[in-house]
Amino acid sequence: MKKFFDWTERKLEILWNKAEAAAENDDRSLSILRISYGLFIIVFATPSFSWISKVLQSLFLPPTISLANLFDGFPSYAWLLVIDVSLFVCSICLLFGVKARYAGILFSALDIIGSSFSFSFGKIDHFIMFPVFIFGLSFTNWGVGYALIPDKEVAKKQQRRVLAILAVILCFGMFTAGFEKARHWIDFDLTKGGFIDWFYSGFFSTDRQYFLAPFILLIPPQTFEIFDYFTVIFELSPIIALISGRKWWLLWLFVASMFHLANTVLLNIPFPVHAPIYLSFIYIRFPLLTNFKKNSNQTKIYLFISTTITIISIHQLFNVVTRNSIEPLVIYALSLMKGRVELSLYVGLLVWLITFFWTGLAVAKAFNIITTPTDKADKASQES
Amino acid sequence: MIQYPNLSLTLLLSLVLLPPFVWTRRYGLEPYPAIILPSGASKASVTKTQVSFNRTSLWGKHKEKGDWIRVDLEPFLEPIPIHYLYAIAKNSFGLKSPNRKIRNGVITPEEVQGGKQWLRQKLVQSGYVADALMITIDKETFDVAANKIITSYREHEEILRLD
Repeated sequence: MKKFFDWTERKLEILWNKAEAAAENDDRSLSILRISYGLFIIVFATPSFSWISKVLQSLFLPPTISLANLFDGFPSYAWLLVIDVSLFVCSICLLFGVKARYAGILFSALDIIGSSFSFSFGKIDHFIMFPVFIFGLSFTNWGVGYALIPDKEVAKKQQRRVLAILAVILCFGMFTAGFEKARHWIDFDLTKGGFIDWFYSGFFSTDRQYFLAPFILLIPPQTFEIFDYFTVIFELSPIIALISGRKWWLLWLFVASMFHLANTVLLNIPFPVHAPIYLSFIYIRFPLLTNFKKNSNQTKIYLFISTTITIISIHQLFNVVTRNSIEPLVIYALSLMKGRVELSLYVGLLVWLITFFWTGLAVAKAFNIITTPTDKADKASQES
Repeated sequence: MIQYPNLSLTLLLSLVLLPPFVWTRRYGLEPYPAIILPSGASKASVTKTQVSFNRTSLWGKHKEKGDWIRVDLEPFLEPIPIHYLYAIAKNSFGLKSPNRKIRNGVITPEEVQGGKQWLRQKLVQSGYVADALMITIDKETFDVAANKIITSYREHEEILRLD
């Protein structure tokens, strides 16, 4: 038995080492990533649950296994607002690096608690990767650099392992999406279509009629059979990419960004919370941030941070008073749109274009297609 | 020091990840939180130029003519996200007993009255008569060459009386 365990341990060690090598990231990039998560939350995707208190209690239908199932109904406005405000404070802490580890852990816990209630209408939205990644990244050095009150540094070995675990969790998540589709969509039957069912039901039932969606109506429907196969291959392949090495993992992340971009413009399903998740494995350099840090004294930095916090807090106070909820900064664009659905689509489009750019750049570098000035600077600093 | 760190980690991850997935596949009841992403493996019937699919709609009564008009969903459901429509419609807006055992399967008369009041208010705000809301599921066929829906067959119709 011991021999079997030793043999399994050795084989698994090889696999985990491969996953670590493919999913690695460095401290500087992770710190920029933490800021990006903070910005993403505050500008585009501030979690808000206080709206739940405005709807009828008779709609309360939580999943059988769920935190919400311990309750008799939706919580009161006051409780939900406490969750919203706490989440907002955590996102500010992530943005400026104020004990980001604790802030990240608290954010994930509160987001899951709040979501337990918002998913109690008989439908679960699958945003679970977002809190899971924030929780996991809290155990890396993402709270060490560009931070007002930095976290205690963790060992590089731990950081590599955490990122590998997150990558495996992402692969498993994609597998859960692809498994059922593989059973039903890989049918070699042109008279049944999976993608086309998503499209037509969404187009006519829930008005998903933006961007390129109307053009799908002009194309012979059997053409889209190929989309069914592509989706299944895409959703079942990340674990192979992860084990195959970094450049293949980056390529999969790039294809994932393309997939979501296509979903946004064709199916009008934006799913922007997966964008920072894919970026968690990309080396991100942001020279403007480094220059700002270099060229600014402490007073200037504190002034910038306190002004930003004041503006964002006034914005949230205004929204709590006028709309009874915490809102992302992008809410001011709502007046230009037909409604929140359209706004979320434009947010999705913007976020996926940015992610498409960053993942594309990473792939181009990994396959030695291009080299950027920051790469040369990184290489020079490593050599020195 | 753990003797088999990689084996332990793999087993631990499997224990966390697999049971909710197996539970969902086996019983069709998805737990939350769980690492599960959307599968949505339903299929539409397709020919060279036509697609048959299900369309879920809400209908309100026109104020003057009294005939049923399809409701503009986003303002009507607000603040509930529009893509919750299918689940909410299936649950008859919570005005009937739930289709699974929640809170001992009991909906109190107060909750039903509160629900009706909320829906009446929403219908009036959207410009409809407040006395009823209709939920339908139609099997529709869209023809690409004609660029329109050519047939519609009602599979489900439910009228919620709100008085």
